[in-house]
Amino acid sequence: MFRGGRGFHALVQILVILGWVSLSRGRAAKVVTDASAAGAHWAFQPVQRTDPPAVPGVSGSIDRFIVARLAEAGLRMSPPTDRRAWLRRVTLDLTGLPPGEAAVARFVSDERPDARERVVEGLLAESAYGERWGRWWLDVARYADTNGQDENKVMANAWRYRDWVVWALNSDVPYDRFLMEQLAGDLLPSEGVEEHELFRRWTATGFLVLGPKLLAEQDKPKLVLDVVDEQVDTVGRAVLGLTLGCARCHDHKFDPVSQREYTALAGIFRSTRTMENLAFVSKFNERRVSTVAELALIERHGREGKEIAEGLKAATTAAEEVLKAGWDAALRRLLVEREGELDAEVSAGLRERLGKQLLKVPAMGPVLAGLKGDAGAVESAVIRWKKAGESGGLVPGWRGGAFAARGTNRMELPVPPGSEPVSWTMSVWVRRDGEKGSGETRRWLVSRGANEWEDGHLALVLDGGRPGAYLNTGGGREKVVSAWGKPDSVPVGSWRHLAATSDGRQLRVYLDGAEVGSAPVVEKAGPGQGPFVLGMRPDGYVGFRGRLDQVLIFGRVLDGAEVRNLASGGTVVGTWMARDFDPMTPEEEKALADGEASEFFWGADGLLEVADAGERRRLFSGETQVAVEGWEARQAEWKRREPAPAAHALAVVDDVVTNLPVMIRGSHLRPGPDPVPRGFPVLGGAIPATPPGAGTSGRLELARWLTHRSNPLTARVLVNRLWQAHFGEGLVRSPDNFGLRGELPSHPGLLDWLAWEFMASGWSVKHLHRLMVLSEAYGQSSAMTPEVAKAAEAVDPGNRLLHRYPRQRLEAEMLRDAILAVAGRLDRAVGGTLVDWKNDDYVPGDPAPFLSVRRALYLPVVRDRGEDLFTAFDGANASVCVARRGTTVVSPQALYLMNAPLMKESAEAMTRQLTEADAGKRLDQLYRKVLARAPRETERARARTFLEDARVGALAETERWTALAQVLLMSNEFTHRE
Amino acid sequence: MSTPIENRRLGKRPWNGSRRAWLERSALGFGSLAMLSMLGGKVQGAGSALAAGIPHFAPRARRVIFLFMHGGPSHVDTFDYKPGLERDSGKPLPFAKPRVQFAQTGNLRRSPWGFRPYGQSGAMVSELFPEVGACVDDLCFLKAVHGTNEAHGGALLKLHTGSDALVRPSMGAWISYGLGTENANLPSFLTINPTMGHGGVANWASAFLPAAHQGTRIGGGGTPVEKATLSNLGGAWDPAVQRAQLDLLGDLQREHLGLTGPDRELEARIEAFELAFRMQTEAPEILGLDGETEATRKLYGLDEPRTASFARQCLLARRFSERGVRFVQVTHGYWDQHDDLTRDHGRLAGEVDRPIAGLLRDLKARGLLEETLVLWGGEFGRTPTLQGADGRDHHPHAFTMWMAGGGVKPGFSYGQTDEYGFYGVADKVHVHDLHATMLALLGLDHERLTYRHGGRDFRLTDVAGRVVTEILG
Repeated sequence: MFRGGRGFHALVQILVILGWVSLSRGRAAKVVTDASAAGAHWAFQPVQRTDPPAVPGVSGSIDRFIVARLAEAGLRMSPPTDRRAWLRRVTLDLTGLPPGEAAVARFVSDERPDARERVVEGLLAESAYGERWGRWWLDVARYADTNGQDENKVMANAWRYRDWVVWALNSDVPYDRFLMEQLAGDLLPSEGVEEHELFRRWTATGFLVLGPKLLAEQDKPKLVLDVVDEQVDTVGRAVLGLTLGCARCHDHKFDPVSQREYTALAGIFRSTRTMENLAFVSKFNERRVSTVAELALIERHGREGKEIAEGLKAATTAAEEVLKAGWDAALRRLLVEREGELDAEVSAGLRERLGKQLLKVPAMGPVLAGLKGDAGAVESAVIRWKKAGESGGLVPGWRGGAFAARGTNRMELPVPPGSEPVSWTMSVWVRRDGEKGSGETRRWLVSRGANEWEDGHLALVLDGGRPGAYLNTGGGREKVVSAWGKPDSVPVGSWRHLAATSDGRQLRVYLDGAEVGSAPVVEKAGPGQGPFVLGMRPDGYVGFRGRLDQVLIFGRVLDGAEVRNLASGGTVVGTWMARDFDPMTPEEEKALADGEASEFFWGADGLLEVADAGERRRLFSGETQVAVEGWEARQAEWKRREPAPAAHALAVVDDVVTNLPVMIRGSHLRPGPDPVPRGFPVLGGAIPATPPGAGTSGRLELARWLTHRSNPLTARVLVNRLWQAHFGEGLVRSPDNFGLRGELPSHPGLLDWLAWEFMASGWSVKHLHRLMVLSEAYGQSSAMTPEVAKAAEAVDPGNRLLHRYPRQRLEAEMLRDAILAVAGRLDRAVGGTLVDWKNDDYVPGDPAPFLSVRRALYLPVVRDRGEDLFTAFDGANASVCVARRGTTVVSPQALYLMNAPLMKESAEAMTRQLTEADAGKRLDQLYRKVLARAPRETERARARTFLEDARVGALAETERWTALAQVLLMSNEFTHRE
Repeated sequence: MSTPIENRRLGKRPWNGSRRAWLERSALGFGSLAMLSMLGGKVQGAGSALAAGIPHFAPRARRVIFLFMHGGPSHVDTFDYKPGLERDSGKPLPFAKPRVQFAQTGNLRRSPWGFRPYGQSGAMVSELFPEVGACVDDLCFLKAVHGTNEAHGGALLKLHTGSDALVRPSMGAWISYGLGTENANLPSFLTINPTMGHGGVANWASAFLPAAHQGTRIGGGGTPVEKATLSNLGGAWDPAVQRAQLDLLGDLQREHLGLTGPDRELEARIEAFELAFRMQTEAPEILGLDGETEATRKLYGLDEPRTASFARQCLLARRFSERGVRFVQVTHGYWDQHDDLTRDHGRLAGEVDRPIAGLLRDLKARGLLEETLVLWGGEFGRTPTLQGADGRDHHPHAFTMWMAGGGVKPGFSYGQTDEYGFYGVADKVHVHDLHATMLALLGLDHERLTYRHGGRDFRLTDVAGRVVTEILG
C-alpha cells in the first residue's frame, strides 16, 4: 500500500517524467513503497564497480579482498592444501564426482605452471559439470517429477526441463538468457528460429509449471491464484532473493514490497496459462515439442500401418468368411436337429456365445439332451463332452497340450517339502489372447505368494505385451523388485518363451532366450509361501487369458545359454517342478474343469471351435496363408521403424491478459475495487525497463526487468549462491533473503566486484567458477592446526573471513554418486528419463528406478515420498525453492551408511576390483580408490588388526575386505570435501 | 545451518547462544541431547533438564498420541448424536449448503446406528463404538471442529501442518522442536503406518525446521503393520561384525580428527554412529512387543484377527510413548464412505473400537494418561446429507474430534452443531485452535513457538489460533 510522504510523491513524478514508472490510463501503478527505507538498504543499491584493495604479494582479485579483510582482523590465510586434496576438492565441486586414480596421478606429477588451470578447464568441459550444477539450480527451481501436495500426479515430461538445465549450464548459456528463457522462452522473438531451438525455449518455461499445486482444490479461482502466488514466491526467492509471497495478504512487513506491487506482479502470472484445465482434479499445462517433420513422420507411419492392417484384413476376410459360413451352417444344422431338446434361452445362448467360429459340428446329441436351461450350462456341458472325447481334454499347446487360462481359472503346482532355494528360475511357453476390457493390464502367469506386496512373492507376468518379473524382498509396496522387457514385445496369438531368474542379487527377465530386462535385488527375500500358481495371481486377481505350456521351475539360476536352450526347444535337466500338460494329470483336468472352459476344443470329429485369430489362420488355404504371412512380415518391418511418439514438455503460454485487483487479506473472495496494472516493484529505485504492454502477459518484460544491469539483486544473488556452493557459506549468509531482514555481506566489496565482473563477462557462470576455484582462498588447507586455532578462535570462530578452507559434507547426490563411482558401479549415461510412469496419473509404488546406478540427478524426484538417502542427508525439499541445504548430523545418516543396500553392495563391488594379491598392496589400492591417497602406517596397522579380529573371523576373506571397504566409505574423510 | 542464533523458539528467554546455535546446526536426530552431553561437557545437564526447562509454562501433558482416522469418519454416526436428523431424515436440508462442496449430496439422512448414553457423563455414543463408549468419562469431545478444505489432500495437510496450500512443518515436528526429546536413542516424532498419499511425507515432514524434528516413519506404503520397522535398522552385517567395523571406524575417525584439528561436526558424526548402534538395539525391542502380558494383548484386541492390526499400532504407540517419544501418530483407514457407509463404517469401527479403548485403559492403569494427550479424529467429518444410495460426502464444516488425558477436562463435551450436525453453532474450534490448544497443553505458547525462516517468524498457527481454555482441566 501507499506509504510514501510528500517527497516520495515528488520522486514518483520524476520517475514518471523519466519514463521509469508508467502511469497507465486512469491510475498510476503505485508500485512504490517506502522509498527512504528501501533506498538505504545495501542490497537495493546499484552494483558498484569496486577495485580490489592493493595487497602486496597477492595477485588474484578475490584473494586481495579476502587477505585484506583477514589482515584487518590480524589474520592470514592458511597454507595451501596438498595437491591431491585440492584435486579431490575441485573435482567433487565442479563435477560432483571424485577424481579417478589416473587423474590424481596425472595431476600430482604435472609440473607445468598452469596445471590447475588445465584441470579446471577440463572439468568445466565435462558433461558431469552440467549434471552437478544442474542439480544446484534444480534445488532453486523446486524441480520434481510429481506434483506432490494433495494429488501426487506424475509430471512425466518434467525431465525435459531438467535436461534443458543441464544442457544450458554445460553450454554456459549466459545467466540473463538462462533466466529469460525460463520465464518467457515462449515470448522471445521467434522469427527465423529453428524449431528445435523454439522447443528448447518452451521447455525452459517448465520452470513456471513445476510447482506443487492443490489439484483437487474445488474452489478453482483459489487454485488459480494459489498457483500464481507460488510462481511469484519462487521467482522472488530464486532470482531476487526476496520473499515476495509475503505481500499476498498485506504489505510486506519488512521489505519495500506493497500488496499492490505484489498484485502487479501476480497479474503477470494470472495472465499466463499454467493449468491445462481446471477439472475436478486439475491438470498442469504442457506443449507439444515435436517438429513438423517429426509429426509428419509419425503421421506417415500411422497411415502406412493402417494400410498394412487393411491389407492384412482383406487377405484374411474372405478366408474368415468361408470359415464362418461353415460354422453358421453347422450351427444352424445343430439348432434345427436338436431344437426340441433346447429351450429358447439355450438356443439364444448358443447363438450368442458359440455362434461365431464353430467350424464343424460333432454329434452333440448326448450332451445337449442333458441340458436344462441356462446358457452358462451349455459351456460346461461342452467341456464335459469334450473331456469325454478321445483328446484327453487338452488344448493344443506349444508342444502337445497346454493349460488354457481364462482369467478365472488356475492350476497349482505344490512345492515339494524340503529346502527353499534362494535362487530360482521360472520358464514357460506362453501364448496370449487379446485383452478384453480395459483397466488393469498386468496379468500373472506363474507366481508364488499372495501378491507382489508379500515377502517372497515371485512372479512371471505380462503387462499387455510386455514381459516382466516380480520379487518382493521383505513385504510391502516398497520392497517390490520388478524387471521389465519392452512394451508390445509379446504379440497376441503367437507362442513365445518367457523366463525369469533371480540369484538374490539380480532379477532378470528373458524373452525367447534373450535377456530383456533386469533389476538389482538388494535385500533378501523371505521364503516363498504356498504352491506355485498358474494363470492368475495366487490371491485370485489379475488372471491371465491365453495358454501356458511347459512350465518349468528350477531351484537355481539358469545362465543365458541354458535359457536360450530352453527357448529353442531344448531341455535343461534338474527341474524343481515341471508341468508339460502331455497328457494332463487328474488334478490338472480338475483344475481346468473348475475354472470354466477353454475357448478351444477338440471334438470327436476334429476341431470344434477356434476363438483365436492366430489359430484360425492355420485353417486357411495355403495361398491365403502365404498372403497373410507376407502382410505380417511387412507389419513387423513397419513396427521396427516406429518413430518416437510426439513429445511434450511442461510449458506455459500467455492467457487472457488480466489486471488483478488487490485481494483484501489475500482472499479471492474479497477483491478490492480496481485492477492494478501489471508491473514490477520499485525496491530501492526504479529500474529502466518497459512495463508490460496491453497484449501480453508481461513475462518477457519481467524477465528483462530482472536481468537489467541496473537490477541490484539478480547478479548479487547468483554470485552469492555460487560462492556458497564453493565455500560452504555465502558472502551473504541468507541466500534467499537479501531483504531488510537478511544478513549483511561479510565482504561487500567482493560481492559487488563479483557481481560486476559477472555481468561484464556476459553473465558467464563458468567464468565465476574459474575465478573462485583458482583463487588461493579456495586452495587453502582446511586443517585447524593449533596455530590456526589460536589465531582464529577469538576473532573468526565461524570462519566467516575464510582463514581456512571450510570443510563441507558431500550433498546427498554427491555422496551417492561418489560411492558408486569409487566402486566402479556408476552408469554415466547422460539425460533422458528412468521411468515410464503414465503422465498425469498417480505415482505408482515403483521402487525400481531408485535402484538405478545412473547419477542421482536422474533418479525420479517424487514429492512427499522421501527416499532414505535424501531424507537422511538433507536433500532439498522438492516442493519449495531451496537456496541452501542443511548439513545436519542425524542418526539416520549413520544407519544409512551402516546398513543401506547401496553401501554393502558398493563395498562388495569395490572388493571385486582389488586385484593385488599382497595384503599391503591391496590396502594401497583400496585407499587410492576411496580416498585418492595411500594409507598411513597407522592405518595399515589398524586395517591388519581389523582383518584379523576374531569378530570378523567367521567371514570369508573377501567379505572381510568388503567390511573394511565399507568402513572407508563411511569415514568423514570420504564423506567430506576437505 | 546458517540459522541465526536469535532464531529460537522462546523469544525473550536468555539462551546460551553458542549452545543453541550448535543445537540447530547439528540437529541431532535421535538423541541430540545425549550427544551434546558427550561432547566434552560443553553442555551442562543437557538431557532431561532441557526437556523440563523448555516449556513456556507448566505443561499438563508431556507427550501426544494421535489416533488419525484417515478418510473422514462420520461425526453424526459416531459421537455427535442428532435427533433432528432422525426426525427429518429424507427431507431436504432446510438451509443453504456451503459455497464450495466436494460433490453434490441429497436430502438429510439418519444414522443407520442407534445411540445411547454412557458413563457418569451420559455422553451419547453410537453402536459403532461400544468400547470407546465405556471410556467416555475420560474423554473430552470437541463437537464443532472445522477446517477449510473439502478434499482429502488439502484437509490432511491442513490438519497436520496448519496449511493446505503452503509447505509447512508438521505439528509433530513443531512439538519436537519446542520440547526436544526425552529419549536419546529414539526419534522424537514417530508416525506408524501413515498414508503415502494425500500429502504423504509432507504430513510428517519438518519443512524448514531442522531435520532432526521430522517424523520418522514406521511402515506405511502398504507394508503390513507386523513387518513395519524403521529404515536401515540393521540387517547388513552380523552385529558383532558391525561392532568391529564401528570400532575401526572410530579409530580411523579419531586419527583423522587429530590431523584436521578440532571440528565439532566431525566429532558429532563419530558419535552419531554409536547412537545409531544403540538405536539398533533399542528400537527392535520396542517393535517386538516383548514383555507384554497376555492380558495386555487381549486388552488391545491383539488376539482377534479383526482388531489385531490396529491393536498392534496402538500398543506400539504406548510403548514408544512411554519410552519418551514426544509425538506418536498412528493411522487407520480408509474412512471415506461415499457409499456403503453401513457396511464399511461398521467394519472400520469394529477394527479400532477395542484397540482404542484398550489403549485408553492401559494408559490409565499405568498412570500415563495424565501426562499423555490422546487425540482422535479424521481430516473432516461426513455430510449429514445422503450421497448415493448409502453414503456421505466430505464435510469440513463441523465434525467431532476427541481428546483424552493430558490435562483436558474428562467427561466433558465442548462445542455444538445445529440440529442436523451440518454447521457449528456454538463454541467452534478451528484446526488452528486445536493446534493452539494442543501446544498449550504441552506448555507451549503457540504465539511464541516461532521459527525464523526466509526472513519471517513462522508459527504452527500462522496468524490465527485460540487456546480453548474451556477444556483445560
